[in-house]
Amino acid sequence: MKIIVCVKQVPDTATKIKVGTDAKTIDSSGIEYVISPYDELAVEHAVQIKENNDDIEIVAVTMGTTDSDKILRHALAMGADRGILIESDVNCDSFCTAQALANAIKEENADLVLCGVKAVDDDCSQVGGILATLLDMPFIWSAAELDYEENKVTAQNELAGETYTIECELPCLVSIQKGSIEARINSLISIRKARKKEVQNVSPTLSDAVIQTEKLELPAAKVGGRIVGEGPEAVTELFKLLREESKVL
Amino acid sequence: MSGILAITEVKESSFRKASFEVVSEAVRCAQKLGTEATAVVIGSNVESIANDLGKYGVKNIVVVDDSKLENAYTQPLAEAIEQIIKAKGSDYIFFPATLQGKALSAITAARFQRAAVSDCTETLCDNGELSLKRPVYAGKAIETVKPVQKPAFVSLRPNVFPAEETTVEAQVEKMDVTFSEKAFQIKIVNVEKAEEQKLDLTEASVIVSGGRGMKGPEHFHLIEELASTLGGVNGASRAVVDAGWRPHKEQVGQTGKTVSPQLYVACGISGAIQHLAGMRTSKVIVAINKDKEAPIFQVADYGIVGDVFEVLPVMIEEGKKLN
Ligand SMILES: Cc1cc2nc3c(=O)[nH]c(=O)nc-3n(C[C@H](O)[C@H](O)[C@H](O)COP(=O)(O)OP(=O)(O)OC[C@H]3O[C@@H](n4cnc5c(N)ncnc54)[C@H](O)[C@@H]3O)c2cc1C
Ligand SMILES: Nc1ncnc2c1ncn2[C@@H]1O[C@H](COP(=O)(O)O)[C@@H](O)[C@H]1O
Repeated sequence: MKIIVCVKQVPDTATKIKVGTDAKTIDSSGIEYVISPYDELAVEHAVQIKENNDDIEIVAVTMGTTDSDKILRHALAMGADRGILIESDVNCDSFCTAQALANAIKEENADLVLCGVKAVDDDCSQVGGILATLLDMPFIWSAAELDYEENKVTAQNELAGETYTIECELPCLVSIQKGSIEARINSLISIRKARKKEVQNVSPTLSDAVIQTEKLELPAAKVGGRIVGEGPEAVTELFKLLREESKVL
Repeated sequence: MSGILAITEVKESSFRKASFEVVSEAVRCAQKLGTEATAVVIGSNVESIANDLGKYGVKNIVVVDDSKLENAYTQPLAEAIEQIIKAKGSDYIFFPATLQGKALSAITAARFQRAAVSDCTETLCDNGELSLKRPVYAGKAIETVKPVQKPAFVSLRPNVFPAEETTVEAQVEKMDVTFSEKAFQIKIVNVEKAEEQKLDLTEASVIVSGGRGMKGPEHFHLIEELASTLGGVNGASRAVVDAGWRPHKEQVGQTGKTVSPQLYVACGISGAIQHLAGMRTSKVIVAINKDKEAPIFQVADYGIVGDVFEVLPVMIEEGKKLN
């Protein structure tokens, strides 16, 4: 069985965002890029399936700049077998990204494709669903737990106090959110081994943009925030403000 | 007729709250764009509730009521919406940016070679075209984007857009659609209800969250009690989720839920950048922290410098007086 995991590099979550000179994209100088946390969990799910079953190949795929090689190596160190790097400097929208990913992996004939529920840079939650549609696969969204058994996946998802259990025969695409498993920490040996694994560089097929960015700005800084007081004595005043000034109670 | 379709989300024959916000915003945008809004209700046994949407000013309601949709997953909804869009020739399709809404918007948009503009917090109508503002980098920046091809797909962040009541006489149109066999490949095999029904964090209008300053899981009853007296739900920082004090579904932040309630109360939470990312678009933020230098105070509208164990019991008492 073949599992494809889509991974994306994003600014480390502790990054302070600065707007670039074009006022449309971020200023990437000094930013440390990491694998998007949900994508890392998706890799972990794939590796756990591989550990519990025979004959499983995991392919990690990314579209991004050449330095995305780093996050592919991260996935390889976690246990993926090989990588595909779709090299592109263009910031393209979710459709264009999904289309390029679909073209690059179509020939792989994957049985299971995993994505993160969202990439924590553009926060779109789009690429997984679009990719599933382009690959003509059913789409399970936001799985917190994932089990694989005999050509079938079972996913669990918690929504508004209810836990849904969902089943689907392969092939299918699942987007992963945080659940009970944690991504493993790569050992030095696994990092060294990952350097020798195969990464294939391919060029993208880019379709026309369907969404255009007009502006990127920082959110307005909070004004007028204040300390109401110290200790329990301040509570009466706080409730008064919540009732009368901001009218939220 | 071109116009805007407002897709609603139904759970067990009642609307999820975000549906009303989407309908209401579609009505407002349609007015500004000089076109009409149509609400869409899809499910099994939904015809009887469809009329309720008239309360939010929408004149046209399309209903797909099909017993095949009983217990169905997302795919058939996308097939139904595709047929409605084609029948109506709609220009814009609005979804609630719930987890389901975002997934549904993606698989529906893809059928038209599009992507949806996700999780928008503001709509801008200019020259008969729509642009949208949406938080990116978990709210550390805001982008303005414009869909360049029609139909265009948009999802709206819950709790951000007001659901205004203005009664109009709504026309309900029943529509028959066809489903492919493939649409039912995914099966919901079990739904387990929590003992206590709580709103999802992303939908709650009041959230009280606890962090490491709560000292241990045994003290979170204070958080739960304050949340329930204020009619809200409880959340948590990642530190307490990682420590196993609280379940991960309660985590607010960049790798948890992104929330925008009317009121967010952070108790014993330092205000790390990843936590702020998930809650900074809340309307009013209250912070209780014993360290007056804690970064959470920089985003708080109101702060109390103090010990949560002294402040929270008094807040619970004060909260009870409200009812
Ligand atoms: C990749 C990545 C993703 C992350 N994602 C998230 C995320 O989604 N959500 C998230 O929350 N974090 C996230 N984090 C973690 C984040 O960086 C912080 O570690 C975390 O938010 C801290 O939680 P805290 O505020 O509860 O704990 P602390 O930072 O330890 O703060 C505890 C606070 O409680 C106060 N305090 C202590 N005792 C009392 C008392 N008796 N009364 C009042 N106040 C008291 C202290 O002054 C302090 O400010 C992420 C980190 C990484 C690296
Ligand atoms: N450039 C990319 N390369 C590889 N996978 C991607 C890329 N962009 C998005 N994805 C995948 O799609 C998921 C959702 O991304 P998004 O729709 O951008 O929030 C991510 O978690 C990844 O698994």
